[in-house]
Amino acid sequence: MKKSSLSISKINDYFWSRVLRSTESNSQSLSVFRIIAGVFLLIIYTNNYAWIGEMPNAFFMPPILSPANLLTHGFPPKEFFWIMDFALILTALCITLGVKARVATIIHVLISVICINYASSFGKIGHNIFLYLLLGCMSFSGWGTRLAIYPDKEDKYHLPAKSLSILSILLCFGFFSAGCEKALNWINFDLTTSGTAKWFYNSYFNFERTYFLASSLRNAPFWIFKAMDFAGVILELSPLFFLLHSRKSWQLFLVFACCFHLTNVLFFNISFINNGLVYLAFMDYTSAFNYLKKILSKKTVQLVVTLGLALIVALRIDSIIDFSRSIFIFLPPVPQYQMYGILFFWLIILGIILRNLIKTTPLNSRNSSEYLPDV
Amino acid sequence: MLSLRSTIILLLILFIPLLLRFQDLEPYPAVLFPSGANVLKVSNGTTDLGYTEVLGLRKSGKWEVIDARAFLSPASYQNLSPLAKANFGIEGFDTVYKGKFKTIKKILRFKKVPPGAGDIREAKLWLNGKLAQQGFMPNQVKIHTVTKRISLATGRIVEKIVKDEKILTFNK
Repeated sequence: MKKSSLSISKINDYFWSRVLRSTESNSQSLSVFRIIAGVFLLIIYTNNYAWIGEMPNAFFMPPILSPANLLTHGFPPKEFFWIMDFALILTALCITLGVKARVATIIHVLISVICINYASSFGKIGHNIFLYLLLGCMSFSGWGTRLAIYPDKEDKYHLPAKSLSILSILLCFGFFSAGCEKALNWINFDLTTSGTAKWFYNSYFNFERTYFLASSLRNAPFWIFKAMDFAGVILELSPLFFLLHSRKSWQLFLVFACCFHLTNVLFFNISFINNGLVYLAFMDYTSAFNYLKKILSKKTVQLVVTLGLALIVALRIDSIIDFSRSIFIFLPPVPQYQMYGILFFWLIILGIILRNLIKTTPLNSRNSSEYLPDV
Repeated sequence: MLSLRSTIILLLILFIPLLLRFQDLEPYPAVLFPSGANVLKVSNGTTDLGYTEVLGLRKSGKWEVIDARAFLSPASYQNLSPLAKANFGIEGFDTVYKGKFKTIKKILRFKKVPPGAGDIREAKLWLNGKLAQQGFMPNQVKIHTVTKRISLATGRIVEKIVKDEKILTFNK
């Protein structure tokens, strides 16, 4: 008995060492990523929730098993959502600037999870949880220890190796959760059924997602949808194999995932934009760290950054007052323009990941859970 | 890295919500991507697509499909279908969870708290305001469960069949 539990323990250690090898990073790189994430929260994925307070309480239909249903019986007053919206801007600013980034990130996650619960209380559950899982994991990664105005201390909650490893497993499981149910229904050789076709025709005819290349799929041969069924399920069930194989193969999977999302944007007009930020967490920004440190020390750059952030905050406050629900703050709140922004963003992410993939050096020599020392 | 015990706890945290989703009981928050595992079936070169639409009454007595985006704004128009199916919370409120499996249904009879009279009054006012914005008569909407028949050869809707129709009045 003892022997078998020992061997299971060994398998567990081996599993995590493989995960670590594919995902490890350092706090210099993660500090750069913190700035990217902060800017993303401020100008790209700009969710406001004050609008919920305008909706009638009779529309309150939260998921059965959710805090909103189990703990409350209706939407909180609109003042609550106003405060939450301003707190989200403030915490996103703190994340960007590195003002006690760990606490700011945790507060941002908690507020977002609560607000999304209410935003998902009209009968349709939103699945944008991965952005907040990313932030939750990153809050313990040490991403607030450098390039920060008020840096976090490297204390017992500074767990960079665990943070990225757990995040990668959560991402693999997320894909698995989508793929396993599809595999049961989609994987067959019945050429008269297709799950991808359901997604496409539903998007096109019911939700008017007709941008980019969507029209070209409208009368495509049905076998193309069937082939997409297989490709989609294989992609969604495969990330763990890529993760356990090597660092390079994990990044290769992230390239495939980007291509998958680009296909979704081009043909189905479905954004999944916050997944892009999750993929960027696994990139190495160490080379950008020194450059950023140097330019951020210049007074003129600091002035430009301050003015830029002030403008962003002003636009965000305006969007809260307007109940605007656009994704990109700098683009008009029109679906077509927003879709162009999403497409552009995915292309940038793909470029960054491809560049990392080409430059990735194998870190296979490191098998222990010891974290890379900061230079 | 993670101890064996922590790994097992992590696996439980991941798999329990997934199993609950299989029972139509998706919890929130949970580490889940959307599945959307339903399929579309082709028959005689056409396929059927279901949809719920809401119609308003014009002064002329003609029913017209409302603009869902404007009607539900500032909420997402994608909520129209579940809200219409629930009669916008103003009548026939379903207090018992209806899941896929009978046994689970018996065990998990989660009660939802129905909206109060004040909430229903507020919803009626809200709906009337939204109808007025689009120039519709107040106090009633028609909810259609529609099937759109699409020709795969042309990629166009060839037929629209109303499978179910109900009129929701809220002037009482």
